Amino acid sequence: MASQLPSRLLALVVVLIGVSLATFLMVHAVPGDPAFALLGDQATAEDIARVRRDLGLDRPLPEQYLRYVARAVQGDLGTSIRTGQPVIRAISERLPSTIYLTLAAILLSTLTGLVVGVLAAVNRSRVVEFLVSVFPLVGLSLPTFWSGLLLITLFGLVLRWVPVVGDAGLRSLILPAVALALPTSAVVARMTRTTMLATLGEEFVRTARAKGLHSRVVVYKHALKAALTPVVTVVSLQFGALLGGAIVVESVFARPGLGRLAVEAILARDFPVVQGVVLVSAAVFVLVNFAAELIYSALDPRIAKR
Amino acid sequence: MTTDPHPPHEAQPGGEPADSPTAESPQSSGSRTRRALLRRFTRPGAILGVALFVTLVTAALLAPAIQRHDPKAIHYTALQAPPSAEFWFGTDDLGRSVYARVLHGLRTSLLIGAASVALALGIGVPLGLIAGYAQGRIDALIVRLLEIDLAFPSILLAIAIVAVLGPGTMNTVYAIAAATVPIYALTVRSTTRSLSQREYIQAARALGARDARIILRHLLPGVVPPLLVITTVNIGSAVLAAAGLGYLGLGAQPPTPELGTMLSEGRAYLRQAWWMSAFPGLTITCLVLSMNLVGDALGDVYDVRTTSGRA
Repeated sequence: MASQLPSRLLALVVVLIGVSLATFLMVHAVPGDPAFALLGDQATAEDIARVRRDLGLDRPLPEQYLRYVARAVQGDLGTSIRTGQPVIRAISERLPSTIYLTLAAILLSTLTGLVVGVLAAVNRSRVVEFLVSVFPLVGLSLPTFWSGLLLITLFGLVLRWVPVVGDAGLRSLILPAVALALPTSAVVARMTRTTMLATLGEEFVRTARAKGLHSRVVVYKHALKAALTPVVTVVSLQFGALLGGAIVVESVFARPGLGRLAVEAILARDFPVVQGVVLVSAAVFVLVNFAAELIYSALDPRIAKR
Repeated sequence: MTTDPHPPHEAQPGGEPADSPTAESPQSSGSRTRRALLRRFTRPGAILGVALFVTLVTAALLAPAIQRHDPKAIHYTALQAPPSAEFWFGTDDLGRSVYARVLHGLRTSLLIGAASVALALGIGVPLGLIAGYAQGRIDALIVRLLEIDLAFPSILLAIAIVAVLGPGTMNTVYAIAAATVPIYALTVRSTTRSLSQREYIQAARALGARDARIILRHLLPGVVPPLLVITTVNIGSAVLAAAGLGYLGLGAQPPTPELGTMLSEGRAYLRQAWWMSAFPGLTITCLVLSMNLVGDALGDVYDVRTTSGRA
């Protein structure tokens, strides 16, 4: 791994540059003048001229891009057109809520996924087999925005156990986290089952059994440990799905997170904010994947050799 | 990000099959595959999947004939009427038939699903074939571009594209296609790479076949099986993504009936009019479920596994 670190870091930098270039060009891809797109139909000629000057749109494109990157690196992502607030502040206000939701969902989906997956691998009873084969299918087919509404109806309106909307601490985190975790737990469950079945057939497990170890020890100590590496991979790769899914789930539960910020910004044609949200979440996603890769190549030396 | 973006595990967002037996011999095992196909498709899950899918597609196609009411017609005397003999799925807050709107929303969903997958295949398959066959620098360049695409969580990429192009049915198609191209391109690339090592490809090359001929006649047929599985499952994911954008108000715009939009309209009336969200939600779930069931059955046949679409 250590020998590959430089080349991986280089690849990371290339992707980050690509991401910044793509988000930079986003505003320029809008048909017509970006200043016009930023200001909307009611803008006067002076407004447009002023914005063009302020944003440096009268400069050549490569220069504009370099300025954009230089500012972004220093944490300056421009100013919201709608509120006049610095984009970085709007994002840092909303980011924690989204991160909590995503982390809660990761935790929840990993736990349920592992439990269901292990059950599916070791249990031979038909009822359990049916349930654990139906669970991933339903989990992957239920849209989070509908399962969210069903959870609101049941636990918020009928049973009145939890507050249904807004961000009021841990209790209001439960339902959105469950809705968001469902598809990922399905993915984790399938992955766990497949790898558990594969490892249970391997030599070292046979050896462990032959040594006369209790089958519970074999399953949970030996096989599960070996099966964990691919699960870590899947979970880390699902991080992007969860981050994206959080946007929709936030909308369902009216949580003031990054996703709601993005949606409100799009509907208000507040481009600097959209651009900032896209850039920040892509960067977070890329860095998390990179970190995850370091972790699982440490867990499984075989990967590092590839 | 790695130089090789393919961890050796089967369920990654690229949905890329690990070196699968599909690649083994694309031509020789015809009858075995057919028998396997028959066996897998007589399983209850697969039968349910096919039946659900055929029913939903038929309902969507016949929508104008079986809709009973115009999906845009407003019935002032029946605002938020519960399900009845007249309005099977009840009416919404504007007095429109939820049944008729679900049928037409299904059309929108299927259209967006099919169009976005077709577009993504049209771009992703050639890219994957070229990258996998050419290898070297061209391969590195294409993979790098795909990695940059993958760096954006798909809903976020779709949101960025809608932000640029504006909300609407066709723009939803472009947005979803842009987010799913890497899935197909990387799948095709890895299959093509392993096929390129095979004797029959080497033989074709030794015989002096041109690159284009090798790609189209010899490699393309080999990439079809894994592609088929991934495509089936991804139509489901595309439908989900489109409905998600619709829910956010960024998808197909009113008055076009759209299932995600209907759900978000129903959100305010969960207590008073559960039918406004329940029927559209159930319909999306059934549609996606049917695609997943069929995809699973196909995956068993070809031993390709996908757990979900892209991140």
